[in-house]
Amino acid sequence: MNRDSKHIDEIFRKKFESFEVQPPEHVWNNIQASLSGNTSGTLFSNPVSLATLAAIILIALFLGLNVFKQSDLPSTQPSGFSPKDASSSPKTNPAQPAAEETSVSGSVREPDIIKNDAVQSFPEGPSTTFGKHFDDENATEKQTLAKKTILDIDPIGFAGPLYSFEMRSLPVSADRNAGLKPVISSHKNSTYDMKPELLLGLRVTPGVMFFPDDNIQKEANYRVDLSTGLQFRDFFVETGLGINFSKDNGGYDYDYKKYLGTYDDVYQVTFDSTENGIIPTYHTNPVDVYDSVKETYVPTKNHYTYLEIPLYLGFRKQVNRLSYFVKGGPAFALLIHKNIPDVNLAANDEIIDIKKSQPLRVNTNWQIVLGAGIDYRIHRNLSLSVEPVFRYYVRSAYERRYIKSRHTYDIGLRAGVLYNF
Amino acid sequence: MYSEEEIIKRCLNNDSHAQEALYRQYAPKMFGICLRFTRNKMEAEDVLQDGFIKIFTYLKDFKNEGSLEGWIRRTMINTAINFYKKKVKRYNELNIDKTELPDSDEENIIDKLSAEELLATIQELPDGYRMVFNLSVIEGFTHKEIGDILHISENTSKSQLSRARSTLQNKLKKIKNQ
Repeated sequence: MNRDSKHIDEIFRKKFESFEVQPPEHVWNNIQASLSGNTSGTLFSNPVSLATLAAIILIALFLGLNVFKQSDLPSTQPSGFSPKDASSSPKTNPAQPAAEETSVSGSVREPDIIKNDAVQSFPEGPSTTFGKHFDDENATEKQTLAKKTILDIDPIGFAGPLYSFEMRSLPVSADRNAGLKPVISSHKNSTYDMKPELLLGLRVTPGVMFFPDDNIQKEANYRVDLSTGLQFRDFFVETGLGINFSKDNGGYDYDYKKYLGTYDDVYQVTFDSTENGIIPTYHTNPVDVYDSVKETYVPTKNHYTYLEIPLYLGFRKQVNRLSYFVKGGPAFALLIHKNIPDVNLAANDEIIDIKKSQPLRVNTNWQIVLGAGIDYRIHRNLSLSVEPVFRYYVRSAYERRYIKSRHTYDIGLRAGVLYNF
Repeated sequence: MYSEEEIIKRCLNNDSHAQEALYRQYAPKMFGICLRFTRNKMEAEDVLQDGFIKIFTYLKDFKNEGSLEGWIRRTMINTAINFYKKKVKRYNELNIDKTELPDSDEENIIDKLSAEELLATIQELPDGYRMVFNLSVIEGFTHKEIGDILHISENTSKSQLSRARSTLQNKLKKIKNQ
Protein backbone atom coordinates (compact mmCIF):
# COMPACT_ATOMS: atom_id res chain seq x y z
CA MET A 1 0.00 0.00 0.00
CA ASN A 2 1.42 3.32 -0.93
CA ARG A 3 1.73 6.34 1.30
CA ASP A 4 -1.07 8.28 -0.43
CA SER A 5 -3.54 5.47 0.05
CA LYS A 6 -2.66 5.33 3.70
CA HIS A 7 -3.28 9.02 3.96
CA ILE A 8 -6.70 8.73 2.30
CA ASP A 9 -7.53 5.83 4.59
CA GLU A 10 -6.55 7.96 7.54
CA ILE A 11 -8.91 10.72 6.43
CA PHE A 12 -11.77 8.23 6.06
CA ARG A 13 -10.98 6.74 9.46
CA LYS A 14 -10.94 10.15 11.08
CA LYS A 15 -14.19 11.19 9.48
CA PHE A 16 -15.97 8.11 10.82
CA GLU A 17 -14.20 7.95 14.16
CA SER A 18 -16.88 9.82 16.01
CA PHE A 19 -19.62 9.45 13.43
CA GLU A 20 -22.96 9.00 15.17
CA VAL A 21 -26.52 8.94 13.90
CA GLN A 22 -29.54 8.77 16.13
CA PRO A 23 -31.58 5.72 15.12
CA PRO A 24 -35.37 6.00 14.81
CA GLU A 25 -37.36 5.31 17.95
CA HIS A 26 -39.19 2.31 16.53
CA VAL A 27 -35.93 0.33 16.47
CA TRP A 28 -35.80 0.35 20.25
CA ASN A 29 -39.49 -0.53 20.42
CA ASN A 30 -38.85 -3.56 18.22
CA ILE A 31 -35.84 -4.61 20.26
CA GLN A 32 -37.78 -4.26 23.48
CA ALA A 33 -40.67 -6.23 22.04
CA SER A 34 -38.33 -8.99 20.88
CA LEU A 35 -36.63 -9.17 24.25
CA SER A 36 -39.91 -9.43 26.08
CA GLY A 37 -41.09 -12.24 23.84
CA ASN A 38 -43.12 -10.10 21.53
CA THR A 39 -42.07 -9.80 17.97
CA SER A 40 -43.28 -6.59 16.51
CA GLY A 41 -43.87 -4.00 19.11
CA THR A 42 -46.77 -3.64 21.42
CA LEU A 43 -50.29 -3.32 20.16
CA PHE A 44 -50.65 0.28 21.17
CA SER A 45 -47.13 1.43 20.29
CA ASN A 46 -48.28 2.56 16.87
CA PRO A 47 -50.65 5.51 17.08
CA VAL A 48 -51.87 5.01 13.51
CA SER A 49 -52.87 1.43 14.27
CA LEU A 50 -54.56 2.52 17.44
CA ALA A 51 -56.45 5.35 15.72
CA THR A 52 -57.64 3.13 12.90
CA LEU A 53 -58.71 0.40 15.28
CA ALA A 54 -60.60 2.97 17.33
CA ALA A 55 -62.26 4.25 14.15
CA ILE A 56 -63.35 0.75 13.16
CA ILE A 57 -64.78 0.08 16.61
CA LEU A 58 -66.60 3.42 16.64
CA ILE A 59 -68.10 2.83 13.20
CA ALA A 60 -69.14 -0.68 14.22
CA LEU A 61 -70.74 0.67 17.39
CA PHE A 62 -72.44 3.41 15.47
CA LEU A 63 -73.89 0.97 12.98
CA GLY A 64 -74.87 -1.40 15.73
CA LEU A 65 -76.67 1.31 17.68
CA ASN A 66 -78.55 2.40 14.62
CA VAL A 67 -79.58 -1.13 13.89
CA PHE A 68 -80.94 -1.50 17.39
CA LYS A 69 -82.76 1.80 17.08
CA GLN A 70 -84.25 0.60 13.86
CA SER A 71 -85.25 -2.81 15.16
CA ASP A 72 -86.76 -1.13 18.21
CA LEU A 73 -88.88 1.15 16.08
CA PRO A 74 -92.18 -0.71 16.18
CA SER A 75 -91.83 -1.38 19.88
CA THR A 76 -90.95 2.20 20.70
CA GLN A 77 -94.48 3.01 19.75
CA PRO A 78 -97.32 1.59 21.76
CA SER A 79 -98.30 -1.83 20.47
CA GLY A 80 -101.52 -0.36 19.25
CA PHE A 81 -99.65 2.28 17.33
CA SER A 82 -101.66 4.26 14.92
CA PRO A 83 -101.32 7.61 13.29
CA LYS A 84 -103.83 8.85 15.79
CA ASP A 85 -101.64 7.62 18.60
CA ALA A 86 -98.67 9.08 16.91
CA SER A 87 -100.28 12.45 16.71
CA SER A 88 -101.26 12.43 20.33
CA SER A 89 -98.05 10.98 21.65
CA PRO A 90 -95.39 13.39 22.86
CA LYS A 91 -93.00 14.47 20.19
CA THR A 92 -89.36 13.74 20.71
CA ASN A 93 -88.53 16.82 18.75
CA PRO A 94 -90.06 19.77 20.50
CA ALA A 95 -88.91 22.07 17.78
CA GLN A 96 -91.52 20.78 15.37
CA PRO A 97 -94.10 23.46 14.57
CA ALA A 98 -97.51 22.81 16.07
CA ALA A 99 -99.30 23.71 12.87
CA GLU A 100 -97.53 21.00 10.96
CA GLU A 101 -98.44 18.46 13.61
CA THR A 102 -102.10 19.31 13.33
CA SER A 103 -102.06 19.16 9.61
CA VAL A 104 -100.31 15.82 9.48
CA SER A 105 -102.19 14.10 12.20
CA GLY A 106 -105.45 15.33 10.85
CA SER A 107 -104.87 13.72 7.54
CA VAL A 108 -103.82 10.45 9.06
CA ARG A 109 -107.01 10.06 10.99
CA GLU A 110 -108.95 9.65 7.79
CA PRO A 111 -110.27 6.07 7.85
CA ASP A 112 -111.23 5.93 4.19
CA ILE A 113 -107.63 5.88 3.05
CA ILE A 114 -107.26 2.33 4.29
CA LYS A 115 -107.99 -0.15 1.60
CA ASN A 116 -106.61 -3.31 3.10
CA ASP A 117 -109.69 -4.66 4.80
CA ALA A 118 -107.99 -7.82 5.90
CA VAL A 119 -105.72 -5.84 8.09
CA GLN A 120 -108.54 -3.67 9.33
CA SER A 121 -110.60 -6.65 10.32
CA PHE A 122 -108.33 -7.97 13.07
CA PRO A 123 -110.84 -8.25 15.83
CA GLU A 124 -108.46 -7.72 18.71
CA GLY A 125 -105.75 -6.16 16.66
CA PRO A 126 -104.75 -2.62 17.22
CA SER A 127 -105.51 0.09 14.83
CA THR A 128 -102.38 0.40 12.76
CA THR A 129 -101.05 1.74 9.53
CA PHE A 130 -98.96 -1.35 8.94
CA GLY A 131 -99.89 -3.13 5.78
CA LYS A 132 -102.06 -0.32 4.56
CA HIS A 133 -101.74 1.37 1.25
CA PHE A 134 -102.55 4.94 0.81
CA ASP A 135 -104.59 6.14 -2.03
CA ASP A 136 -102.96 8.51 -4.39
CA GLU A 137 -104.48 11.71 -3.18
CA ASN A 138 -103.34 11.17 0.35
CA ALA A 139 -99.99 9.70 -0.48
CA THR A 140 -98.10 12.93 -0.28
CA GLU A 141 -99.47 13.70 3.12
CA LYS A 142 -98.67 10.22 4.36
CA GLN A 143 -95.16 10.46 3.11
CA THR A 144 -94.87 13.75 4.93
CA LEU A 145 -96.01 12.03 8.08
CA ALA A 146 -93.59 9.18 7.59
CA LYS A 147 -90.70 11.52 7.05
CA LYS A 148 -91.70 13.61 9.99
CA THR A 149 -91.89 10.53 12.16
CA ILE A 150 -88.42 9.60 11.05
CA LEU A 151 -87.09 12.97 11.99
CA ASP A 152 -88.77 12.74 15.35
CA ILE A 153 -87.27 9.42 16.26
CA ASP A 154 -83.86 10.04 14.84
CA PRO A 155 -82.00 12.16 17.37
CA ILE A 156 -78.68 11.97 15.56
CA GLY A 157 -80.09 13.08 12.28
CA PHE A 158 -78.77 10.14 10.36
CA ALA A 159 -82.07 9.63 8.66
CA GLY A 160 -81.97 10.68 5.09
CA PRO A 161 -83.18 9.49 1.77
CA LEU A 162 -81.34 6.21 2.25
CA TYR A 163 -82.51 5.71 5.78
CA SER A 164 -86.19 6.26 5.76
CA PHE A 165 -88.33 4.10 7.95
CA GLU A 166 -91.26 3.66 5.62
CA MET A 167 -93.63 2.27 8.16
CA ARG A 168 -96.71 2.73 6.05
CA SER A 169 -95.55 0.35 3.37
CA LEU A 170 -94.84 -2.67 5.52
CA PRO A 171 -97.37 -5.44 5.12
CA VAL A 172 -98.45 -7.20 8.27
CA SER A 173 -98.15 -10.86 9.03
CA ALA A 174 -101.55 -12.45 9.27
CA ASP A 175 -100.42 -14.92 11.87
CA ARG A 176 -102.54 -13.88 14.82
CA ASN A 177 -100.75 -16.16 17.23
CA ALA A 178 -97.48 -14.59 16.41
CA GLY A 179 -98.85 -11.15 16.96
CA LEU A 180 -98.64 -8.24 14.68
CA LYS A 181 -95.37 -8.29 12.78
CA PRO A 182 -94.25 -6.11 9.98
CA VAL A 183 -92.99 -8.06 7.03
CA ILE A 184 -89.97 -6.50 5.46
CA SER A 185 -90.21 -6.34 1.77
CA SER A 186 -87.26 -7.56 -0.23
CA HIS A 187 -87.95 -5.28 -3.15
CA LYS A 188 -84.86 -3.24 -2.90
CA ASN A 189 -85.76 -0.99 -5.73
CA SER A 190 -89.08 0.01 -4.31
CA THR A 191 -89.27 3.57 -3.18
CA TYR A 192 -91.12 2.29 -0.15
CA ASP A 193 -88.33 0.02 1.05
CA MET A 194 -85.32 2.14 1.76
CA LYS A 195 -84.82 0.67 5.17
CA PRO A 196 -81.33 -0.74 5.79
CA GLU A 197 -81.24 -4.47 6.13
CA LEU A 198 -79.27 -6.09 8.94
CA LEU A 199 -77.18 -9.07 7.93
CA LEU A 200 -75.46 -11.57 10.18
CA GLY A 201 -72.99 -14.04 8.75
CA LEU A 202 -71.03 -17.04 9.92
CA ARG A 203 -68.31 -18.10 7.52
CA VAL A 204 -65.10 -20.06 7.22
CA THR A 205 -62.21 -19.18 4.95
CA PRO A 206 -59.55 -21.70 4.06
CA GLY A 207 -56.69 -19.79 2.52
CA VAL A 208 -53.07 -19.80 1.48
CA MET A 209 -50.56 -17.13 2.35
CA PHE A 210 -47.92 -16.47 -0.26
CA PHE A 211 -44.45 -15.03 0.17
CA PRO A 212 -42.53 -13.35 -2.59
CA ASP A 213 -39.39 -15.09 -1.38
CA ASP A 214 -37.94 -18.38 -2.61
CA ASN A 215 -36.79 -19.40 0.85
CA ILE A 216 -40.21 -19.38 2.39
CA GLN A 217 -42.97 -21.68 1.36
CA LYS A 218 -46.58 -20.77 1.11
CA GLU A 219 -48.52 -21.57 4.23
CA ALA A 220 -52.14 -22.64 4.71
CA ASN A 221 -54.41 -20.94 7.17
CA TYR A 222 -58.04 -21.00 8.22
CA ARG A 223 -60.41 -18.32 9.31
CA VAL A 224 -63.75 -18.42 11.08
CA ASP A 225 -65.64 -15.19 11.30
CA LEU A 226 -68.89 -13.80 12.57
CA SER A 227 -69.90 -10.75 10.62
CA THR A 228 -72.58 -8.15 10.82
CA GLY A 229 -73.54 -5.77 8.07
CA LEU A 230 -76.02 -3.21 6.97
CA GLN A 231 -77.38 -3.07 3.46
CA PHE A 232 -78.41 0.37 2.23
CA ARG A 233 -80.08 -0.18 -1.09
CA ASP A 234 -77.27 -1.64 -3.21
CA PHE A 235 -74.49 -0.71 -0.84
CA PHE A 236 -73.45 -2.36 2.34
CA VAL A 237 -71.11 -1.93 5.27
CA GLU A 238 -69.72 -4.99 6.99
CA THR A 239 -67.69 -5.58 10.12
CA GLY A 240 -67.32 -8.38 12.62
CA LEU A 241 -64.87 -10.57 14.45
CA GLY A 242 -62.79 -13.35 13.00
CA ILE A 243 -60.27 -15.86 14.26
CA ASN A 244 -57.39 -16.79 12.02
CA PHE A 245 -55.52 -20.02 12.65
CA SER A 246 -52.14 -20.09 10.92
CA LYS A 247 -49.36 -22.63 10.90
CA ASP A 248 -45.79 -22.25 9.68
CA ASN A 249 -43.18 -24.84 8.90
CA GLY A 250 -40.50 -23.20 10.98
CA GLY A 251 -37.13 -24.36 12.16
CA TYR A 252 -33.89 -23.43 13.78
CA ASP A 253 -30.41 -23.27 12.30
CA TYR A 254 -28.02 -23.29 15.17
CA ASP A 255 -24.47 -23.88 16.26
CA TYR A 256 -23.99 -25.28 19.71
CA LYS A 257 -21.43 -26.56 22.12
CA LYS A 258 -22.00 -30.22 22.82
CA TYR A 259 -21.00 -31.13 26.33
CA LEU A 260 -18.51 -34.02 26.34
CA GLY A 261 -17.57 -34.13 29.99
CA THR A 262 -14.78 -32.72 32.11
CA TYR A 263 -11.09 -33.08 32.54
CA ASP A 264 -9.01 -32.18 35.56
CA ASP A 265 -6.87 -29.20 34.94
CA VAL A 266 -3.70 -29.26 37.06
CA TYR A 267 -3.12 -25.80 38.37
CA GLN A 268 -0.50 -26.64 41.02
CA VAL A 269 1.83 -29.48 41.91
CA THR A 270 3.27 -29.79 45.38
CA PHE A 271 5.85 -32.27 46.58
CA ASP A 272 5.86 -33.86 49.99
CA SER A 273 8.80 -35.71 51.44
CA THR A 274 7.77 -39.01 52.94
CA GLU A 275 9.52 -42.11 54.13
CA ASN A 276 8.95 -43.52 50.69
CA GLY A 277 10.52 -40.57 49.02
CA ILE A 278 9.11 -37.44 47.45
CA ILE A 279 5.46 -37.74 46.47
CA PRO A 280 3.90 -35.16 44.18
CA THR A 281 0.38 -33.90 44.83
CA TYR A 282 -1.58 -32.59 41.86
CA HIS A 283 -4.11 -29.86 42.59
CA THR A 284 -6.77 -29.83 39.93
CA ASN A 285 -9.91 -28.09 38.84
CA PRO A 286 -12.54 -29.80 36.73
CA VAL A 287 -12.88 -28.14 33.34
CA ASP A 288 -15.88 -28.67 31.08
CA VAL A 289 -15.12 -29.96 27.62
CA TYR A 290 -17.32 -29.10 24.69
CA ASP A 291 -17.33 -29.97 21.06
CA SER A 292 -18.56 -27.33 18.64
CA VAL A 293 -21.38 -28.63 16.50
CA LYS A 294 -22.20 -26.36 13.61
CA GLU A 295 -25.16 -25.85 11.36
CA THR A 296 -27.64 -28.11 13.07
CA TYR A 297 -31.18 -27.86 11.81
CA VAL A 298 -34.32 -28.67 13.72
CA PRO A 299 -37.73 -28.28 12.06
CA THR A 300 -40.65 -26.94 14.06
CA LYS A 301 -44.34 -26.22 13.60
CA ASN A 302 -45.22 -22.71 14.62
CA HIS A 303 -48.85 -21.99 15.39
CA TYR A 304 -50.41 -18.53 15.51
CA THR A 305 -53.94 -17.41 16.31
CA TYR A 306 -55.10 -13.93 15.37
CA LEU A 307 -58.21 -11.99 16.21
CA GLU A 308 -59.29 -10.04 13.14
CA ILE A 309 -61.58 -7.03 12.88
CA PRO A 310 -62.52 -6.00 9.34
CA LEU A 311 -64.44 -3.06 8.00
CA TYR A 312 -65.69 -3.49 4.46
CA LEU A 313 -67.68 -1.32 2.14
CA GLY A 314 -69.37 -3.05 -0.74
CA PHE A 315 -71.89 -3.12 -3.51
CA ARG A 316 -74.48 -5.87 -3.78
CA LYS A 317 -76.99 -6.38 -6.55
CA GLN A 318 -79.85 -8.79 -6.20
CA VAL A 319 -81.37 -10.76 -9.05
CA ASN A 320 -84.18 -12.95 -7.74
CA ARG A 321 -82.62 -15.40 -5.30
CA LEU A 322 -79.11 -14.62 -6.35
CA SER A 323 -77.14 -11.59 -5.41
CA TYR A 324 -73.61 -10.77 -6.36
CA PHE A 325 -71.33 -8.40 -4.64
CA VAL A 326 -67.91 -6.81 -4.49
CA LYS A 327 -66.37 -5.32 -1.40
CA GLY A 328 -63.17 -4.06 0.07
CA GLY A 329 -61.68 -2.48 3.12
CA PRO A 330 -59.09 -2.73 5.86
CA ALA A 331 -58.79 -5.48 8.43
CA PHE A 332 -56.84 -5.34 11.63
CA ALA A 333 -55.28 -8.50 13.06
CA LEU A 334 -54.08 -8.97 16.62
CA LEU A 335 -52.02 -11.97 17.68
CA ILE A 336 -53.79 -13.58 20.62
CA HIS A 337 -51.89 -16.83 20.88
CA LYS A 338 -48.74 -18.40 19.52
CA ASN A 339 -46.96 -21.66 20.04
CA ILE A 340 -43.35 -21.78 18.88
CA PRO A 341 -41.43 -24.81 20.11
CA ASP A 342 -37.98 -24.21 21.60
CA VAL A 343 -34.78 -26.00 20.69
CA ASN A 344 -34.32 -28.94 23.02
CA LEU A 345 -30.70 -29.32 24.04
CA ALA A 346 -29.11 -31.60 26.58
CA ALA A 347 -28.75 -29.93 29.96
CA ASN A 348 -25.11 -28.95 29.61
CA ASP A 349 -25.09 -28.12 25.91
CA GLU A 350 -24.87 -24.48 25.02
CA ILE A 351 -26.13 -22.55 22.05
CA ILE A 352 -23.43 -20.59 20.26
CA ASP A 353 -25.55 -19.03 17.60
CA ILE A 354 -29.12 -19.59 16.60
CA LYS A 355 -31.20 -18.43 13.68
CA LYS A 356 -34.80 -19.13 12.89
CA SER A 357 -35.15 -20.57 9.41
CA GLN A 358 -38.64 -19.14 9.21
CA PRO A 359 -39.29 -15.64 10.49
CA LEU A 360 -41.78 -15.15 13.25
CA ARG A 361 -45.08 -13.50 12.57
CA VAL A 362 -45.80 -10.03 13.81
CA ASN A 363 -48.13 -9.27 16.71
CA THR A 364 -50.35 -6.92 14.79
CA ASN A 365 -50.86 -6.30 11.13
CA TRP A 366 -53.10 -4.49 8.74
CA GLN A 367 -54.53 -6.00 5.63
CA ILE A 368 -56.31 -4.56 2.65
CA VAL A 369 -59.02 -7.04 1.78
CA LEU A 370 -60.80 -7.34 -1.53
CA GLY A 371 -63.58 -9.79 -2.17
CA ALA A 372 -66.23 -10.62 -4.72
CA GLY A 373 -68.85 -13.31 -4.52
CA ILE A 374 -72.41 -14.46 -4.66
CA ASP A 375 -75.16 -15.07 -2.14
CA TYR A 376 -77.94 -17.53 -2.87
CA ARG A 377 -81.13 -17.11 -0.88
CA ILE A 378 -82.36 -20.52 0.24
CA HIS A 379 -84.98 -19.17 2.59
CA ARG A 380 -86.60 -15.81 3.11
CA ASN A 381 -83.97 -14.87 5.68
CA LEU A 382 -81.20 -17.29 4.97
CA SER A 383 -78.59 -17.24 2.24
CA LEU A 384 -75.55 -19.23 1.33
CA SER A 385 -72.54 -17.13 0.52
CA VAL A 386 -69.32 -17.88 -1.28
CA GLU A 387 -66.59 -15.39 -1.91
CA PRO A 388 -62.96 -15.51 -3.09
CA VAL A 389 -60.95 -13.12 -0.94
CA PHE A 390 -57.62 -11.47 -1.57
CA ARG A 391 -55.64 -10.01 1.32
CA TYR A 392 -52.65 -7.77 0.96
CA TYR A 393 -50.59 -7.25 4.10
CA VAL A 394 -49.77 -3.58 4.36
CA ARG A 395 -46.62 -4.36 6.27
CA SER A 396 -45.40 -7.90 6.11
CA ALA A 397 -47.16 -10.52 8.18
CA TYR A 398 -43.66 -11.51 9.25
CA GLU A 399 -41.02 -9.70 11.18
CA ARG A 400 -39.63 -6.95 9.09
CA ARG A 401 -36.05 -7.70 9.98
CA TYR A 402 -36.36 -10.96 8.08
CA ILE A 403 -38.43 -9.97 5.13
CA LYS A 404 -37.30 -6.67 3.77
CA SER A 405 -39.74 -4.44 2.03
CA ARG A 406 -41.69 -7.42 0.81
CA HIS A 407 -45.34 -7.96 1.37
CA THR A 408 -47.15 -11.15 1.96
CA TYR A 409 -50.53 -11.76 0.46
CA ASP A 410 -53.24 -14.26 1.00
CA ILE A 411 -55.89 -15.83 -1.17
CA GLY A 412 -58.84 -17.61 0.39
CA LEU A 413 -62.33 -18.85 -0.29
CA ARG A 414 -64.84 -17.53 2.21
CA ALA A 415 -68.03 -19.50 2.47
CA GLY A 416 -70.90 -19.70 4.92
CA VAL A 417 -74.39 -18.61 5.76
CA LEU A 418 -75.99 -15.19 5.98
CA TYR A 419 -79.07 -14.34 7.96
CA ASN A 420 -80.96 -11.18 7.13
CA PHE A 421 -83.39 -9.56 9.56
CA MET B 1 -26.82 6.94 35.88
CA TYR B 2 -25.46 3.43 36.04
CA SER B 3 -21.81 2.42 35.93
CA GLU B 4 -20.88 0.06 33.10
CA GLU B 5 -20.63 -2.88 35.50
CA GLU B 6 -23.98 -2.03 37.03
CA ILE B 7 -25.60 -1.78 33.59
CA ILE B 8 -24.25 -5.19 32.58
CA LYS B 9 -25.38 -6.74 35.83
CA ARG B 10 -28.86 -5.29 35.50
CA CYS B 11 -29.11 -6.22 31.83
CA LEU B 12 -28.25 -9.79 32.73
CA ASN B 13 -31.22 -9.69 35.11
CA ASN B 14 -33.40 -8.49 32.21
CA ASP B 15 -33.87 -5.07 33.72
CA SER B 16 -35.54 -3.19 30.88
CA HIS B 17 -34.41 0.23 32.16
CA ALA B 18 -30.79 -0.88 32.10
CA GLN B 19 -31.25 -2.39 28.64
CA GLU B 20 -32.65 0.87 27.41
CA ALA B 21 -29.82 2.83 29.06
CA LEU B 22 -27.27 0.60 27.35
CA TYR B 23 -29.04 0.97 24.04
CA ARG B 24 -29.31 4.75 24.32
CA GLN B 25 -25.64 4.99 25.17
CA TYR B 26 -24.32 2.99 22.24
CA ALA B 27 -27.05 3.04 19.60
CA PRO B 28 -26.02 6.29 17.83
CA LYS B 29 -22.45 5.12 17.33
CA MET B 30 -23.53 1.61 16.34
CA PHE B 31 -26.10 2.99 13.93
CA GLY B 32 -23.28 4.94 12.29
CA ILE B 33 -21.40 1.67 11.84
CA CYS B 34 -24.48 -0.11 10.53
CA LEU B 35 -25.03 2.65 7.98
CA ARG B 36 -21.50 2.18 6.69
CA PHE B 37 -21.92 -1.54 6.26
CA THR B 38 -25.32 -1.40 4.63
CA ARG B 39 -26.80 0.13 1.53
CA ASN B 40 -29.49 2.21 3.13
CA LYS B 41 -31.11 3.32 6.34
CA MET B 42 -33.68 0.56 6.33
CA GLU B 43 -31.08 -2.18 6.18
CA ALA B 44 -29.04 -0.38 8.81
CA GLU B 45 -32.05 -0.36 11.12
CA ASP B 46 -32.47 -4.09 10.62
CA VAL B 47 -28.83 -4.75 11.42
CA LEU B 48 -28.93 -2.47 14.45
CA GLN B 49 -32.02 -4.24 15.73
CA ASP B 50 -30.57 -7.72 15.20
CA GLY B 51 -27.27 -6.63 16.64
CA PHE B 52 -28.73 -5.31 19.88
CA ILE B 53 -30.91 -8.37 20.31
CA LYS B 54 -27.73 -10.46 20.03
CA ILE B 55 -25.94 -8.14 22.42
CA PHE B 56 -28.61 -8.52 25.08
CA THR B 57 -28.93 -12.25 24.46
CA TYR B 58 -25.22 -12.98 24.68
CA LEU B 59 -24.17 -10.31 27.15
CA LYS B 60 -23.47 -13.11 29.61
CA ASP B 61 -20.60 -14.14 27.33
CA PHE B 62 -18.91 -10.78 27.72
CA LYS B 63 -15.88 -11.57 29.87
CA ASN B 64 -14.82 -8.07 30.84
CA GLU B 65 -11.56 -8.79 29.10
CA GLY B 66 -11.82 -5.77 26.84
CA SER B 67 -14.04 -2.74 26.72
CA LEU B 68 -17.77 -3.21 26.49
CA GLU B 69 -17.91 -0.80 23.57
CA GLY B 70 -15.35 -2.86 21.70
CA TRP B 71 -17.38 -6.01 22.27
CA ILE B 72 -20.61 -4.31 21.21
CA ARG B 73 -18.89 -2.89 18.15
CA ARG B 74 -17.53 -6.30 17.15
CA THR B 75 -20.94 -7.89 17.64
CA MET B 76 -22.53 -5.23 15.48
CA ILE B 77 -19.94 -5.67 12.73
CA ASN B 78 -20.43 -9.45 12.84
CA THR B 79 -24.17 -8.93 12.55
CA ALA B 80 -23.68 -6.68 9.54
CA ILE B 81 -21.36 -9.23 7.94
CA ASN B 82 -23.81 -12.08 8.59
CA PHE B 83 -26.55 -9.93 7.12
CA TYR B 84 -24.66 -9.81 3.84
CA LYS B 85 -23.46 -13.38 3.98
CA LYS B 86 -27.08 -14.35 3.69
CA LYS B 87 -27.47 -12.15 0.66
CA VAL B 88 -24.19 -12.59 -1.12
CA LYS B 89 -23.69 -16.21 -2.01
CA ARG B 90 -20.17 -15.76 -3.19
CA TYR B 91 -17.70 -13.02 -3.67
CA ASN B 92 -16.26 -12.73 -7.11
CA GLU B 93 -12.64 -13.64 -7.18
CA LEU B 94 -10.94 -10.63 -8.64
CA ASN B 95 -7.43 -10.05 -9.72
CA ILE B 96 -5.56 -7.33 -8.02
CA ASP B 97 -5.77 -4.33 -10.23
CA LYS B 98 -3.35 -1.56 -10.27
CA THR B 99 -5.07 1.17 -8.39
CA GLU B 100 -4.72 4.67 -9.56
CA LEU B 101 -2.80 6.74 -7.12
CA PRO B 102 -4.99 9.36 -5.54
CA ASP B 103 -3.83 12.82 -6.24
CA SER B 104 -3.73 15.67 -3.79
CA ASP B 105 -7.01 17.07 -5.18
CA GLU B 106 -8.85 13.94 -4.12
CA GLU B 107 -7.40 14.21 -0.66
CA ASN B 108 -8.75 17.73 -0.47
CA ILE B 109 -12.17 16.63 -1.67
CA ILE B 110 -12.35 13.84 0.90
CA ASP B 111 -11.24 16.24 3.58
CA LYS B 112 -13.90 18.75 2.64
CA LEU B 113 -16.75 16.24 2.42
CA SER B 114 -18.80 15.57 5.53
CA ALA B 115 -19.10 12.10 7.01
CA GLU B 116 -22.66 11.93 5.69
CA GLU B 117 -21.48 12.65 2.15
CA LEU B 118 -18.72 10.09 2.38
CA LEU B 119 -21.22 7.64 3.83
CA ALA B 120 -23.41 8.09 0.77
CA THR B 121 -20.51 7.18 -1.54
CA ILE B 122 -19.60 4.16 0.59
CA GLN B 123 -23.20 2.98 0.60
CA GLU B 124 -23.21 3.05 -3.18
CA LEU B 125 -20.34 0.55 -3.34
CA PRO B 126 -21.19 -3.04 -4.24
CA ASP B 127 -21.72 -5.20 -1.15
CA GLY B 128 -18.39 -7.04 -1.31
CA TYR B 129 -16.37 -3.89 -1.86
CA ARG B 130 -18.15 -2.12 0.93
CA MET B 131 -17.54 -4.95 3.39
CA VAL B 132 -13.85 -5.14 2.66
CA PHE B 133 -13.41 -1.38 2.56
CA ASN B 134 -15.10 -0.93 5.93
CA LEU B 135 -13.26 -3.80 7.56
CA SER B 136 -9.89 -2.83 6.18
CA VAL B 137 -9.87 0.96 6.05
CA ILE B 138 -12.14 1.96 8.91
CA GLU B 139 -11.99 -1.01 11.26
CA GLY B 140 -8.34 -1.82 10.64
CA PHE B 141 -8.58 -5.56 10.01
CA THR B 142 -5.78 -7.23 8.08
CA HIS B 143 -6.52 -8.98 4.80
CA LYS B 144 -5.94 -12.30 6.47
CA GLU B 145 -8.52 -11.48 9.13
CA ILE B 146 -10.95 -10.20 6.52
CA GLY B 147 -10.44 -13.41 4.55
CA ASP B 148 -11.30 -15.45 7.63
CA ILE B 149 -14.33 -13.34 8.45
CA LEU B 150 -15.80 -13.29 4.96
CA HIS B 151 -14.57 -16.76 3.97
CA ILE B 152 -12.59 -15.39 1.05
CA SER B 153 -8.94 -15.59 0.21
CA GLU B 154 -6.48 -12.96 1.28
CA ASN B 155 -5.92 -12.03 -2.37
CA THR B 156 -9.63 -11.59 -2.93
CA SER B 157 -9.77 -9.28 0.04
CA LYS B 158 -6.94 -7.24 -1.43
CA SER B 159 -8.55 -7.07 -4.84
CA GLN B 160 -11.90 -6.11 -3.37
CA LEU B 161 -10.24 -3.29 -1.48
CA SER B 162 -8.41 -2.21 -4.57
CA ARG B 163 -11.65 -2.14 -6.54
CA ALA B 164 -13.43 -0.37 -3.73
CA ARG B 165 -10.81 2.35 -3.68
CA SER B 166 -10.95 2.69 -7.44
CA THR B 167 -14.75 2.96 -7.41
CA LEU B 168 -14.64 5.51 -4.63
CA GLN B 169 -12.09 7.56 -6.52
CA ASN B 170 -14.33 7.64 -9.56
CA LYS B 171 -17.25 8.74 -7.45
CA LEU B 172 -15.15 11.43 -5.79
CA LYS B 173 -13.98 12.64 -9.19
CA LYS B 174 -17.60 13.02 -10.20
CA ILE B 175 -18.29 15.03 -7.07
CA LYS B 176 -15.23 17.16 -7.83
CA ASN B 177 -16.47 17.87 -11.35
CA GLN B 178 -19.94 18.86 -10.19
